[in-house]
Amino acid sequence: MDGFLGINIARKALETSQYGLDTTAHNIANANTPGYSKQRVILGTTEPFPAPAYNRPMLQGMLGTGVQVKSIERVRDSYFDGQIRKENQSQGYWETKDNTLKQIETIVNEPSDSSLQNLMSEFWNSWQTLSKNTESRSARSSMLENGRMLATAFNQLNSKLSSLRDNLNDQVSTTVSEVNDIAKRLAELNHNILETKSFGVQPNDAMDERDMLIDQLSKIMDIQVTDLSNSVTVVTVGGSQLVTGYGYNELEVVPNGANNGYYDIKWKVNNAALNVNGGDLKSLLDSRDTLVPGYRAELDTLANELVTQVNAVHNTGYGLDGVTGYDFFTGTSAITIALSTDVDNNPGHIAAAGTAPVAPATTPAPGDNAVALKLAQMKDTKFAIGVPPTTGTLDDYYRSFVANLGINSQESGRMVENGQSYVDLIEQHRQSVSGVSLDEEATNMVKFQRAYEAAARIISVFDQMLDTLINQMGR
Amino acid sequence: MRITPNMLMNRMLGDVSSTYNRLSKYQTQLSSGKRYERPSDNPISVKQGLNVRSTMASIDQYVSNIDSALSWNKTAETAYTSATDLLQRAKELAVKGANGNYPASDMIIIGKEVDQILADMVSLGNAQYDGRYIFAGTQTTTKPFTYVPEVAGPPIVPASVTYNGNSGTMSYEIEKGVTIPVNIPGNIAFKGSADPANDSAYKVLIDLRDHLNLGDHAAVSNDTSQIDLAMNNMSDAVTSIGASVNRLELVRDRQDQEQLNLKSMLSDLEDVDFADIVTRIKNEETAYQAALTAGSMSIQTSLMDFLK
Repeated sequence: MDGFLGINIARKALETSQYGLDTTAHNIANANTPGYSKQRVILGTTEPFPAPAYNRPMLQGMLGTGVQVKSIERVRDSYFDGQIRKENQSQGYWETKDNTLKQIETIVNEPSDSSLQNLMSEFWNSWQTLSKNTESRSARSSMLENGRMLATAFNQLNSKLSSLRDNLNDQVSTTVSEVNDIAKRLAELNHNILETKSFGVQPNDAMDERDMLIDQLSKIMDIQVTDLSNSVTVVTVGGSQLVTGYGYNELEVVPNGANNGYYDIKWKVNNAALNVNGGDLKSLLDSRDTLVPGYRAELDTLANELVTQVNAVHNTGYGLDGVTGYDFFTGTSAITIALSTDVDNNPGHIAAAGTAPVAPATTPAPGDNAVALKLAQMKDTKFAIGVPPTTGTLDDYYRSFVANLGINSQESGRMVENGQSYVDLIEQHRQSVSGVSLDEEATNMVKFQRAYEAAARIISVFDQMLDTLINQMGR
Repeated sequence: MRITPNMLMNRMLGDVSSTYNRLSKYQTQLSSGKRYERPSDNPISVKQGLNVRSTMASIDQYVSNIDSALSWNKTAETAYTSATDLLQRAKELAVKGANGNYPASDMIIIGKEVDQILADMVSLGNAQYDGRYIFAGTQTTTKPFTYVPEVAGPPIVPASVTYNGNSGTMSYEIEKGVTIPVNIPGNIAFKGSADPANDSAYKVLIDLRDHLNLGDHAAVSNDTSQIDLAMNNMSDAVTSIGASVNRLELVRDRQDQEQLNLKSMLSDLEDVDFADIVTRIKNEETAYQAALTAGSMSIQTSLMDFLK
């Protein structure tokens, strides 16, 4: 026990105040860093003197020996991390689905003047116009052009949906390489964190970065995060390990010939398929393999029905040349539908007439419009279309397709909106715990500054005491 | 709950951006005048809208069909009315020719006039609308009645009128699922010489002329009643056309009314209520400014401002 104990206590106080100020500075500096959690200095007293023992010096009580920095912690509640990651998964899923549906809506482009609905109306109306003017070459030509335009509109819808699928496929590949990047970085961080911890220090900033990467990953796919005791995080996807301590398993995309050459996602190590059940990636795969093909199939059904029904009636009629059995359309799907070669560039072959030529004539009566009229009235004819069949007109079928698309897209939009407000809410809670408050930091700054000043004052008091002892005595 | 400036700022940004989103949506609606742009904005209204548009397109077509049918019918009506006038004149001549005091030489002169009437009647039977022969059945490009002129000198060879059309009819659709025949084939109203019936407009005129030329008073007198039959036949056709025209006009009125209804329905479905949207825009503008003001006040102040 010597006279310098007090000066040492004050020195430690100066040091810890400086730690405090440094941490405050770090907090203020990172107030706007995404993913940053507020850090705080955990202070504690140093070992008191004397230590309790049998042979301790006989003193009154124990004497405190000052302050020390026990650790610098980040303030974080992992409960909210879990919540956000869970929500992120479904948010990622719906955002991507919503995006796809909005794109399909843009492709379908209803309601507008150039939409399929309008072209179908024009198609039926041209049969009406033809029924009034079966002799007229111009009515026939315009009939053909309207038929061609309708077929082309189907072709275009189909090819736009195809390129949407191609686009989604590209995104699958981009997303997989993003996952690989994140996994690689997580493994590096794990190494970094473990190494730092082995020196008994908290690697706060690295842990923040790791948490943020896991957040990002949770939006892409369904993951489980296990915090092992040595703080190495293991992320498993569908039961397989993506990040294993310092290592990580890479994913790769492999074109699948059976699926238009679209990518399958596989584990590089054993070529096993990735089992993904949520997030952005799952949504991309669903959109590519189910959602878009579903809408495409409906258009195919419509196109096929249109071809079948129009031809069935058209076949019974007679062209101006007296020949019967001409097809108007050819094809079985939205991509193959086209004007039949029977009529293409041959307006006279449109079978408007319903009565066979009466001998000795070899051509039907030019004013005979029976079949043209029947085709015009097909607009209001009901058929059983699709699987399972729904009964309605061809126009009804298309309108249901549009309404169904609208309802799905509306739902996904709502899911995104609701999910976002939930994510925002949890994020708000997380921020409430981990966010940097400048007012708080300013208060701390004042606190540490004053503590520093007080400790410095103690040193100067000891200085004066020692001055008295050393310089003023024994003169 | 602990609140940090970042939370305030995020909240404010969220408020401002959602207000701004709504503002942009309303402004788009205001400038386009349409309440929705894509099916997801309101799937049910969009579906109904498509339905209404498609029905409106049909009705436009029906109206155009009705107009064609009306023009067609009116052309036919004019032809029939003129034909009735011609028969009326022929009847007057027949009455004159049946008079026993008339010498054969005068009867031949009357016969010449009947010949003129016959020629006029043939050209009425060949009336055209829009380049098509309206009395040819569905053989619309074929001249339906051809007149074989008399060969001069006794014995008198009766001229004949041949019908080259058919008995086909053409129908137009005038409202959903309803069709109406637009033509009356010439062999029904005018009838050609091929027709064995005596009431053929051409046959009675040819008979009358021949009987006048032969100076056969009794036969000419008998022709008068045949002309009456032909006139009846003709007036039946006029009546039936009149009925058609009435029906067409009625349906047309109904379609016009329906079109108006549909227009207002579509407007209800799709069009923006301007008063409503302008009010909403004003509201959002106020909210936007309030959010900005509140934000700027809370962001400005911090403890830092008070520390020296």
